Amino acid sequence: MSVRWINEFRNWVTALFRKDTLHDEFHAEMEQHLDFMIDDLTRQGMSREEARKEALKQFGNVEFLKEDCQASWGIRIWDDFVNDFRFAIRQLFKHKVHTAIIVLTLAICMGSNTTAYNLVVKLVSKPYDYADADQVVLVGKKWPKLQGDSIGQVSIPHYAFLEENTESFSSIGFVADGNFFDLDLNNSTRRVATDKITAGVWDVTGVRPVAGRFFSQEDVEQSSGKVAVLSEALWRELGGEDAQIVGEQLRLDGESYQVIGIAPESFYLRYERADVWVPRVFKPWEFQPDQRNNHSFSVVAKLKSGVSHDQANQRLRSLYESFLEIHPGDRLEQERTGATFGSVDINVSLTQGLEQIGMAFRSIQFVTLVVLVIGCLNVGGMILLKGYARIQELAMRKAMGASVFRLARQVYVEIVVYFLLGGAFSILVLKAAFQGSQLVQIDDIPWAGEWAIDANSLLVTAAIALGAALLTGVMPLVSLLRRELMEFIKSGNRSMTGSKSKHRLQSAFVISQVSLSVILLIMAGVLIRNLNAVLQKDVGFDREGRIAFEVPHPKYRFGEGEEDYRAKVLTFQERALLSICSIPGVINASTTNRIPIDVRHMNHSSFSMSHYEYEEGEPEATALRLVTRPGYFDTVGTRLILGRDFQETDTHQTERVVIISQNTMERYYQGMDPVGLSISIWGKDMKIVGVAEQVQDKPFFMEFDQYTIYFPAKQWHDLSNGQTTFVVHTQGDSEQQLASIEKAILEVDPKVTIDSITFDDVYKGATFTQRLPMIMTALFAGLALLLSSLGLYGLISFTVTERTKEFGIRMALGAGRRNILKRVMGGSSWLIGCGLTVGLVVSFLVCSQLNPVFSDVNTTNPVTFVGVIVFVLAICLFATVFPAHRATRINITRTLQY
Amino acid sequence: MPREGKKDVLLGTLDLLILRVVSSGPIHGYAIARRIEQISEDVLTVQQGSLYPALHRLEKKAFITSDWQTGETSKPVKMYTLTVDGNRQLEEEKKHWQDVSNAVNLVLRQA
Repeated sequence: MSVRWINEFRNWVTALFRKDTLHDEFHAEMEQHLDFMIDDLTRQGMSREEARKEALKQFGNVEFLKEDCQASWGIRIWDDFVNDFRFAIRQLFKHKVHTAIIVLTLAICMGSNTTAYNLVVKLVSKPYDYADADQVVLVGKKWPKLQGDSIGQVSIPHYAFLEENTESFSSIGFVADGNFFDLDLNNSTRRVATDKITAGVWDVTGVRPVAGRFFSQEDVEQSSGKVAVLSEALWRELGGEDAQIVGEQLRLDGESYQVIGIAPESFYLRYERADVWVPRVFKPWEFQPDQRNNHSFSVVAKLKSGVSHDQANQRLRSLYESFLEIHPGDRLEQERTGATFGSVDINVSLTQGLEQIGMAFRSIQFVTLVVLVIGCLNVGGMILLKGYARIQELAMRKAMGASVFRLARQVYVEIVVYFLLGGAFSILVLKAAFQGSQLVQIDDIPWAGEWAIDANSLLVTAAIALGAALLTGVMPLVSLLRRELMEFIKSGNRSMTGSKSKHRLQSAFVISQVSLSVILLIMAGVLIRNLNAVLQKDVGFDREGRIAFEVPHPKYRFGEGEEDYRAKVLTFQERALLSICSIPGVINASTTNRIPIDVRHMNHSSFSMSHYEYEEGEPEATALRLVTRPGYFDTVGTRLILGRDFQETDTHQTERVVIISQNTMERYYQGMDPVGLSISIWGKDMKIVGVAEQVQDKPFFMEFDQYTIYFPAKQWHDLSNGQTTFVVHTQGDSEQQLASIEKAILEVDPKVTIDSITFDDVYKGATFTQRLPMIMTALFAGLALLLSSLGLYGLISFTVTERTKEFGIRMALGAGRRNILKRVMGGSSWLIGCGLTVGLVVSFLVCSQLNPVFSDVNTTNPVTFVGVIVFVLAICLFATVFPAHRATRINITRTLQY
Repeated sequence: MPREGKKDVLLGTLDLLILRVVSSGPIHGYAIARRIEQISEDVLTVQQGSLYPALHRLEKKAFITSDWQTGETSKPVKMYTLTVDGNRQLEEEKKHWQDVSNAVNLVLRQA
């Protein structure tokens, strides 16, 4: 049977390619048949002439017979399809404007939606693309009474306890991120971001090496932790495959490590991408009970198959109870904060604490969805109008025997051709979007890295738009089925002025398009005003001319402990500062341990005050620790509200002093002068010497609810975060100043590594959650506006073209240009007015609901509304004036001729 | 044009008749129709409107093949020949027809 089927198929295909031959042979065969018939008839006594006539009469219509034979070969369907396709292409070229509008709409729709979808997936929904990422969890400690459900970091004793009790997990790994190593490149030093991890991390994430292998627990033990895995980026930088780095030794912070493998570019563990992964080797003292308050580490784990997140969390809660039995001292903390172990899906963990980010990106997705709806309206509307414009022709064909299936197929082939074109152009839009994303510095987002187009989302968008197009494409056919054919055929000229149902549909399209663009624009306006309001906030420091230089002082060169700090770090700082200050154009310079508003180096300590007793159950205040040198406040442009700055005389030999932040004073020192009072941290008393103006210390996307305490650099050796950040106030060209300051620091110590950044760039990075949605919203709102004006233009100009004959008659009868113009404009302005009203009412209702969400701006501010109305009116005017103008320029005799 | 007393070939049996006629040796379309009429003593008639679609259908199914032969006249004539597959199909259809006609006769006789 199957052989037969193959034979049949082969014959069909051959027939397709031998169509012309088949055609000729058919005619020859018919000719031959006629000849035989004529011969027979002559033999029966007819004359040759009569016989021929009789034969032809008997034979009937050759064309019908030919069609039947073609049907036997099964090549008629193909022929019809080719005809439909040709017809579609002809239609495309005949109505160039409409084709352009539909194709452009589709391209923009598919392109922008895919971009937005991919962005949201990459940044918010699925930032980690590990194998089985849905089974990978971030395990940590949480303090429900203080921070709700967000998972915090753990200490080494916590990790050790979790590792021993991993019933719910198939593997567990430890991550200490945000470390830096000096990589010795013989004649220069390169700073490499390093994650110190346990071998378990490789199992948890399921990542595969690009080259070499990853370290196992045995590797770690045998090498005493001196093995390293490099990132693909660093590997390529060092020469990649050619350099045969795997197996070689690298010097990191003065120690030798053997490179055993290369991790793929897509692999990262926490917020920042690491260049190097080395084993975290624990020292015995790190397991001591007193280390359990050092919550500085992350734990990742993979759930055993069949274990749900809830089950794992339940198990973790009971584990914390067992932990408390070993460390009863922590019970108090638990009562106060509800502390326990917990876990969260790794892909949720990244944005869990950063709700603003999630919201911002979801709003982008919402905006693009509106773009999609407008796009569907455009395409649907245009196809519908075209369908109705042809309804008479369709009715005629149906009356002559064409099946509805045949007519529908023709309509659909045309739609599919549009989509193929639109899809091709959407690739261009996507390319542009990717380039654009680089312009808005998407790469600044720490975990964004590379993002690629996901074909699925492109298909989903295409499917939605195609659905809309097919739905509207079939509507004229439905009216054909519903009503008497003769009605359409008879209606003749009347359809020139537009049938009722068509008119209703067209009005609905115009109204919904106008109202949707109004809603979108107003929403975009409100969102942008809100985000802008955040950006206008006073951050408490100046950015102009300020540059930061982060210089780590690794232990292998600067040692550790108080003596080394004073002898090496402080000396280096002083010499570097002297050198920097001698550069022309440098106004001021100082040091700190973190750049304001930066996301990194955020260490907190709780403190108590001499005059203030915490109430029962009141959480202790915690403060961000800043370590500064005298002159820091002047350099960054932060005012001191009360008291004095640190002085060179505040040293380890004098009384410990601190400067507190404005909000600390406002909260705990109402109506008092805090200067001179004392504050207690780590059981040590310190005197408050000053109060600094409030500074936006953290990026805007992080909750800011804590206080800031400044410590003098000379009094504390262990608060520096292992690095010195020089802050310099310069004038003149920043680039040039930056280079000369780097040079000055390297002259003091040629082996340090410097990471320099202007405050402007820091600010940009810290405000990307505001800027990016702003840019994206503006962009998509612009696209939506473009689309709906295209759509409006298309709808109105189509009607005008259709009414050309009518206008011709009117003008022939003496109607002036103004009259025609009024006729065209009058009809559309009524629709636009309706659309505006609907849009305004809906957006007012939505916006009044939004007021509490966007607390910074009045969401129903009339300025936004009036602005949008003017804008939309202008666009509508533009979309109507051109077709109207064209309507008055028609050549009367020509239009009436045909 | 069917004349009085002539019947169009029974629906579904045309293929069988064509296969049977072609099985006797290469033959052209017109001759097939004439032969069916002759052998059935002018009871059955085959119109070209059904003959040629049927021939093309059988050719597509590879039951028959065709080639242009220069025969009695000077013009080449399209001749049809039965294939191996066609022969098998003919046997199947013959058997099927026997079964059906036996069954029908049985009903006619005994009802």
